[in-house]
Amino acid sequence: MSALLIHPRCFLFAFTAVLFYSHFVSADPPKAIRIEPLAVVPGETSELVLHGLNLADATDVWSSSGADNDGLTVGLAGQRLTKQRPSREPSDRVTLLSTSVAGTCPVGIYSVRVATVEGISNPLLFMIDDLPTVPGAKDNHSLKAAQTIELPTAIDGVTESGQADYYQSSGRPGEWVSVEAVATRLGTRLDPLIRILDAAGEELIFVDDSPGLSGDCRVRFQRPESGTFVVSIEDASLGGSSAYQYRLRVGDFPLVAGTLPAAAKRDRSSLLRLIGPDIDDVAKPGSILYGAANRISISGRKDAGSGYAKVFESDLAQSVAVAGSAVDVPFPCGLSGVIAQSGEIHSFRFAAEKGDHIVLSDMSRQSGAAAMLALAIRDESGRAIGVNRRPGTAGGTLTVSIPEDGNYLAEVSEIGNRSGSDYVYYAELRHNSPDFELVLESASIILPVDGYAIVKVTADRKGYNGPIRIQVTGPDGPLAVANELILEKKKDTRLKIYVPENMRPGQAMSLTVSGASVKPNDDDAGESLHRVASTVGLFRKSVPQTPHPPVELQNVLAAVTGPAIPEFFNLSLDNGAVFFPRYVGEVYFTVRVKQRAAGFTAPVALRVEGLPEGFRVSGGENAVGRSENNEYRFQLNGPAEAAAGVSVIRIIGEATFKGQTKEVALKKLPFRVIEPLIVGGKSAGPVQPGGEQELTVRTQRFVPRAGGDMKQIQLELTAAPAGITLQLGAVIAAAKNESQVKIQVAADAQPGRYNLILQATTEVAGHEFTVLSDSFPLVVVPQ
Amino acid sequence: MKNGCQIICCLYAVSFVSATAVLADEKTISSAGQRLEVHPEQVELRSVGQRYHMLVSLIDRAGLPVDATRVAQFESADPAVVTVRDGQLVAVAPGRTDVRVNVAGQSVTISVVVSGNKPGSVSLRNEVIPILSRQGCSAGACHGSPQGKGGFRLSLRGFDPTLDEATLRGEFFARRVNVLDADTSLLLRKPLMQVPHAGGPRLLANSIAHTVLRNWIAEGRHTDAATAPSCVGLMLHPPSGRQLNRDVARQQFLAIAEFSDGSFRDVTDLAVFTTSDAGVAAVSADGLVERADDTARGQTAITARYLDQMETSFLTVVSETTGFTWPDPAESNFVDQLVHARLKQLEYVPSRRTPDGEFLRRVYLDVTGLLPPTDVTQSFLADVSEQKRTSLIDELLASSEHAKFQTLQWGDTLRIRKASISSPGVFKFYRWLVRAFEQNMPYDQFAGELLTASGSSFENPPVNYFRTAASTNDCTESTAQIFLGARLECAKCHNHPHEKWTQDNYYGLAAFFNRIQRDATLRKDEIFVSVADTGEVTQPRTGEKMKPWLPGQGDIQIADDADRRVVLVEWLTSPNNKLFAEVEVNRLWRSVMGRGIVDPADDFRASNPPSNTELLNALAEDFVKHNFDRRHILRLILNSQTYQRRSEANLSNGGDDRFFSRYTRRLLTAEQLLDAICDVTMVPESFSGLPSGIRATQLPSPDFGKDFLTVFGQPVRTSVCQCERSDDLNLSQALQIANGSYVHGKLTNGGSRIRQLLNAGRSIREIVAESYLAAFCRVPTAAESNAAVSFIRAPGERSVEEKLEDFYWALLNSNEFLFQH
Repeated sequence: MSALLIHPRCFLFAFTAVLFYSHFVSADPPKAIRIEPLAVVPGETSELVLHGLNLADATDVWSSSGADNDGLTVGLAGQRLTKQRPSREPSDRVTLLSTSVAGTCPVGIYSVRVATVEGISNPLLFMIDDLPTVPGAKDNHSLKAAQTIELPTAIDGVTESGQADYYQSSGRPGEWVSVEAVATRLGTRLDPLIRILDAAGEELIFVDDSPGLSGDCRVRFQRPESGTFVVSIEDASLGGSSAYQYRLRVGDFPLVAGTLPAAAKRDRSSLLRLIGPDIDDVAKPGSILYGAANRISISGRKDAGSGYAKVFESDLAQSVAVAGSAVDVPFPCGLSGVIAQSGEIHSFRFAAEKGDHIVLSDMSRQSGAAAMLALAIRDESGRAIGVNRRPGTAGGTLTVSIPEDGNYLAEVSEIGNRSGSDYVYYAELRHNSPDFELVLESASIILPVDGYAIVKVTADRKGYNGPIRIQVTGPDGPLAVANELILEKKKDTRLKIYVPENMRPGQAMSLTVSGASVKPNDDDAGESLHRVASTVGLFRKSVPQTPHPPVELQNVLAAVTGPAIPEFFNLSLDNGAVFFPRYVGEVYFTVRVKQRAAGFTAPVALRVEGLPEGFRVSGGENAVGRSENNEYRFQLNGPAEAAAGVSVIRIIGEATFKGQTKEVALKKLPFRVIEPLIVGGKSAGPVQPGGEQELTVRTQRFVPRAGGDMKQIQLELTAAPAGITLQLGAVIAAAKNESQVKIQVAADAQPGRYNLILQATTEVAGHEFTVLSDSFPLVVVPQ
Repeated sequence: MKNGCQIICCLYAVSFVSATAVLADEKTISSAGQRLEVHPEQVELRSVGQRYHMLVSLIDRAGLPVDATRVAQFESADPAVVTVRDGQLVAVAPGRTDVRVNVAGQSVTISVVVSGNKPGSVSLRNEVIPILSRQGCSAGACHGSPQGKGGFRLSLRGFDPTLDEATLRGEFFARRVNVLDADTSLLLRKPLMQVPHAGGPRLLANSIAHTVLRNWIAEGRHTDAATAPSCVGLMLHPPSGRQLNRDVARQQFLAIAEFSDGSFRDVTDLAVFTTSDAGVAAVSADGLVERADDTARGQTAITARYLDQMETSFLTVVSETTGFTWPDPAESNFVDQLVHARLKQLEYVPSRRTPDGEFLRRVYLDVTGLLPPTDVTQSFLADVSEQKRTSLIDELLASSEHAKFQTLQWGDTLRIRKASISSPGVFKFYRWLVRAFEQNMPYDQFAGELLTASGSSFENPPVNYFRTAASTNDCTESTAQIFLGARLECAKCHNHPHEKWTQDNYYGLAAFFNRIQRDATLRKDEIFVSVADTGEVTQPRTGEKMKPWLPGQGDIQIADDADRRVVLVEWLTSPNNKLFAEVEVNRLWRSVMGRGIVDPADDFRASNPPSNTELLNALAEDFVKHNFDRRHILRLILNSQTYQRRSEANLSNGGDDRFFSRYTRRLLTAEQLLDAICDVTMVPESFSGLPSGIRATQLPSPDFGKDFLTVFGQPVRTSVCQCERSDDLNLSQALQIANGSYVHGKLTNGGSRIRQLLNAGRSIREIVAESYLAAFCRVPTAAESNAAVSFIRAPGERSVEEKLEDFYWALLNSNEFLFQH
């Protein structure tokens, strides 16, 4: 099938326009499960097939091309709404994608998502690979049934549970061969294990979990004397199914562990030396234009296929270690090297001044390099200024203060005493200045047409406590945003991103969310910090076997425009107001959430805004508890001495449904600070002049949890007509909320209907106060 | 009160027994001696009043020493310098003299020097605290418990003298001791029962113990000077090798302590003596060992403990049965020679050689965990070559099934399970072990790779050793138990009560592991192990920062940037470290013999002696000589006549369950049993999350779930102790086998062996014969075959198929099937 679409948006416009209004939230967001084949060839247009759920109404494709890559174009090739149910696979739709790859596009691992008006799918990973692909046989589970392969080649296969797949190759004895299994790096469930056997089945090589490959493995070896070898590949945990895909690359291509230097500047030509087993035999150092997002690849012998690696992107000057001697380096700078021998220590000499705060950071693991570094900074006499042998989850960091002007040595070594050409490292030596990192709570969003999406941006502050202004950049420039400021010393904001104009439903795009430090005054000198928000943690959570995804899955927010779905919940509050009794300091109130859309069951994040100073609701932005019937209970604390009065607050609920986040607000809510007693009276009936009538007095008390009970309440009538009085000494006992008292009507009182008001005086927590009741009627009838 | 009475009775009983025994021995000894030996040959007494026991032995005509201590007569050349009372030298005044020892007409003279000119003061640390331990006051059940008893708390068996000093001298305003009137001290009155004492009487008035305590109080309850000598060693005389028999039923032991000032002191009256097997021989508080009874035979370890020192001497008790003749059985290798030597000494006649079928079944189960296929059984039974057993052993040891079965056993020891090392970790560690056994990795390398593992738990699976052993203490205890056979847990809190391990030793060993760091990585379930260059273990009692310490070497200096574990492994796997090899050969021995030479196999201690020390030593030496080749040791054992003996007892060896005169019969392990049922019925089992075809004996971990396995003792792998695999017999097991759904399901399965054979048109008699081959590795006898055929063919309402199910049920419920024999 040929590629039909250079601009798939045109093709899909009419189709999605129909969908937009007639098909409102009719289906779930797309989910991608599997991709076939696992690679496309540079310089060609190929077809990729995605298996998954809800892919049939695809409107657009999101790919690495939208992120940062030159030479790769992925689009929808057409709609083939194939109803298909492969056995035991939850797939009912197949979408075909057309992938056009420029010849200059580096071999490596890339990603793709499918967009519909309902959302954007999870990413699937595939390779751009210059090796020809052959499908793996279904029945090659023994040495005798080994599938014959011609080198170079790459086999796309799937393991069966407890079975190994066998591939046999014949050639010239002594010829070098590289074998590489790519599986976990492609996000498949296979944890590959490779054996190289001779023709008789005798094991020559066993390899599982090669360093720096996230569980994948590779090996380079010479053909045995017979010239024939067999590769077997299986899952290390004996697993197998269509989810256990692998790409087995076999040929005389270089196995690249990394480059020296390990980092380069973007869009600059850099001389990089490739590192890997026996690599000098197959690939010479060369000038490589590093432009595509941290990927490089290099071919070895003609038509033998390429090796590939990641390159750190850095604007720092780069220095490479020389084993056995200290290298003079500028400060700051990037440090790289390869730990060739066990126990090797690499030294970098730099000049520093007394009082300099310096940080030496091991960056190796962050991109999946194999080395894990022990770090040290010493003075020239060898005295340790600081040592860190604790690698942590993603590499260690050493921070020191320089004691005297002079030269110092930054030392790195492999903390596990491992060595070899796989152990390339990259570290950075910098000033330890205030900094921050940003993390997004979601890696993909739906931007409702004519609306906005909300995404939480969290700052991990590393010494910088000032405000951070967030910006969102799309393919055509910055997007409009609101709540873009993370306030001083605060850790997050719920950023509102407004959909750009002229976007149609179902259109995918890549957004970069970044933050910049805000200087107190525009005149302040110095550079502002600028950091791109990370999404890699989200990918690692959803695809834990692949900790080092392509760069576009590390810091790009995938977005799709979708129809704005109506509000799917609303809020209500008892009494329409929040009350805070004085002297009590603490009260609870309940907000009720009502679902307005079928299927919406997610919790609603509630927050209260506009409270007067000194008041706070517990649990930060969320209610303290959610009952089964969607009631969220808040605890409100405030100053005991707060003045009685009324102000206005807002209660805002935020929830996500079908990929869209909505805010619903209860605006202009009265917030009343009241006395901690409410009194009401009700007479038992009419009364004649000269008579008495019973009055039932009810109260509602608010008492502090730890402050003791309220004392007895003394009652009086206030501003009552002449001749109408309350019995002397009318009280409500301390422990009671109700009391019967008598209203006495003088004989000369005039008949009529009177509105009476009770005055109640009592004491709580050492504060005496008086409250008035609402008025209540008393009818005096003639005798 | 009852305890106290028992102790008093016991004390008197010892005196009585000793007296009567003396009379019995005199007759024997008078005619036995060829040569007289006295220990010590010379002695220095450093204070007036100091005592020193003498140990007197007559060497008989066969060259065997016989204890003559209690019949010897002693004569001091100068009683003004030294006198002899109750067999003890007693210093009287400074000077030098000779003491002549006479037994049965033979005499030896020893030289004695008294160098001190005044009585020594009582040492709190070297005398009082040992006395309190010897009298049981500081035992765990009494004042040595963590909470003490009755408000009086001592350190367990005196392991913390600083604490005891404070308690004895000053606690509660020194109410326990009255220096003005020592006899009124509670410390004396309570154990003398002059005031009520819940622990009963613990002292006899004017006994040595009483005298020591009283004098210490009367002298002013002093602490020891900082320069006072401390005990640095303990010797037990006589050393291992003594033998008791019908005629010579007793042996006196002496405990001699070496002190830091170079002096030696007889601490027999201060030490605690124990026996490892009271059924063989008992030991009195005074160190007198006596054969348990006339029929007793075997070996026991006599242990003396003084302060934190412990020493053991092995003693053999023989039977000398009338009419016993040694049959001089065939011997395949040194295993047989050494086993036979011990059996001959103890007069156990070994059982006969096992038949071929029984051997085949046994060796298959022991080496692979599986039953042999019926075609293998048929060809083995038909094979008439002499080398067929040896060939089979070689074939099985080289098999992948053997590697996997070894991995199952080591998986227990290394605690491989998902809960502790994650699912990928389980498979990777399991595979590493299988490959190590397939390649027959030398054991020293195996231990080294585990104990020095660093890096990723996925890239380097042995790193998982430090994942299951997730703390310094766990590493210390696990490593000691797995590779040294030492159960160290006790020493974490106090000196080991039954071993030489002290609390200092524990934390000294822990110092090798204290710098291990475990970090999560970005890869799910992976950990990264590395080693820090700082950090020391603190001894919790003393607060001291502990240096790495090794048995026999003491504190070790290691550079900060070095991996301490490497030093540990160098020492551990050194050919000079006999224990390392002994523990592994013993484990291998147990894996095929059903019982360790030391048993339990992971409990090496002085008070748990090997049943055949020479055999254990020889195997260990051979193991080292063959570069720690486990397969070589297994081959040696499996080819021995000892292994190939029947499990049935003969008239002679029914009482032997320690010395390998017959094969140890035992219930199949849970995994063996499930696989065997599957094999006999030809209905495989499936395990959740694993591909079909996986056998129970090849499970990477117990997490894959089967109730059947749990019932039959499959361990959950939370402990390195072999005891976690239960070999208890219980009702649940009987119900599972007799009525359980597993067995029933296998029998009624449409694809079972029964249906396959019936569908293939095999006759009932043929089916019966094949069933016996499958389950028992033998053809049925004519009687068995006829009975089975009659039962199956008997007319009735039930079908042949159902009767065959019943027949198979009977096979599976028979002891011959359920037991390894």
